[in-house]
Amino acid sequence: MVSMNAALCDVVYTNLVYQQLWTETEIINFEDVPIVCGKPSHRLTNDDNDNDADASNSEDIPSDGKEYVYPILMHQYKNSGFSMKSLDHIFSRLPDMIKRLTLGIVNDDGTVVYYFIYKGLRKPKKN
Amino acid sequence: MEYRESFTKAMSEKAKIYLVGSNLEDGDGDDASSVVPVLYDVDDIAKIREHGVAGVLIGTLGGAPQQNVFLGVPLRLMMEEALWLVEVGHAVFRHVMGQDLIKSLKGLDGEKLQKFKDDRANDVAQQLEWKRANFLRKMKTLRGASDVAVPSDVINERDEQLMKQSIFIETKDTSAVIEPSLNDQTIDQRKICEQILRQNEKLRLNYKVYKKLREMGYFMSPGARFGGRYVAYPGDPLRYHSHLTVQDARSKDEEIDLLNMINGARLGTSVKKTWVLPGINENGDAEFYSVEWAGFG
Repeated sequence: MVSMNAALCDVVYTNLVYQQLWTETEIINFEDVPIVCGKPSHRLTNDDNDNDADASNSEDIPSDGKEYVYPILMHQYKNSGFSMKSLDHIFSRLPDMIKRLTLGIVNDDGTVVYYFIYKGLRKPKKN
Repeated sequence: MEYRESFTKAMSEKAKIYLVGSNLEDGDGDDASSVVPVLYDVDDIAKIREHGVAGVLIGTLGGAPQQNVFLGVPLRLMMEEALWLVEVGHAVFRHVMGQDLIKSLKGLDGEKLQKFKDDRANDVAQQLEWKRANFLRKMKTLRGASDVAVPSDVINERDEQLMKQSIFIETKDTSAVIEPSLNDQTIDQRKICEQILRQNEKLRLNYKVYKKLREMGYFMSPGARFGGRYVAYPGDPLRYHSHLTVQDARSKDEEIDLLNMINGARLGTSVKKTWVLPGINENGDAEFYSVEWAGFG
């Protein structure tokens, strides 16, 4: 299982560095939760540092501009084994300041897609 | 004054939600799932909207059954909405079955039907009379008093035809046929809520999610348009865009279909909605995770 995770981390790491052009990218293990951490090449959301009165979302974002990606494998025809419990577990291992997790979903054809996950309800991001 | 009093009284009363479509008493199998909660009274509809339940208007005109815009009463609710309104005490359930309707028709005979017909004919005749009088008065002022001796000279066939076309036929809010006693029957509200919930496991979970979101101030409407269980609005749907597409509730152990999540979140992001995954924890409370496309990959 550990080697499986390591392999997934490598795929996501490579994708982030060479396709998405992330910088300062590294793989960090928060106990049993492996995370690929790095800085995106461009701003991902428009409301991160918004100081609007109604921007209840603004405090959620790490100030150093780093994103935390959890790699996960998606088989087209197999179950993911991934539940809300798994998400609880991942969030419980991350430092409290990290409010946004990015799922790096690795497809079995080698493509990787990225999705933000927040605990609780969150307004859609501004475009 | 009298009107105002009756209005205040109406507002303080609970809204009446009619359960139509099936016989709950049989208690056999999935009966409650085929029951549809609807409201017929516009005052009731206004009342529940004050309490954050909008519902969906489904009434068409009898002559245009294909109509799909500008719909009117009845207002159809999701079962969760109906249960919440009753549980909180803003509304009461009334149960209507086919047999009740037939029973209430028992006293109906030819004489009564004839009376309905006569009443309508009288109404039409009165309106026509009034229109004729108005027309004559108008003509009098236009042509001068001397010219209008005989009405039949003044009103020609075409005018008569136009007057007939402009007669109002009132569509009544309440049925003259169904006896009002049907509305007075009392049923055990808590029992009926329990019965509906007991028969449907999925509804039990979703109701917890609905309740939590409603208590947070969200308005919910059916979510099929965006591939979810609910679409959640931060206020009245006439004033706000919806923010969330809420999926079916699940236990927290249940596996997440990642492909489904990718589909939903990608669609949601392109229509400015967060894809929300609700789960019911061990204590029976609803918890949420919000998902959206990261904008790359």
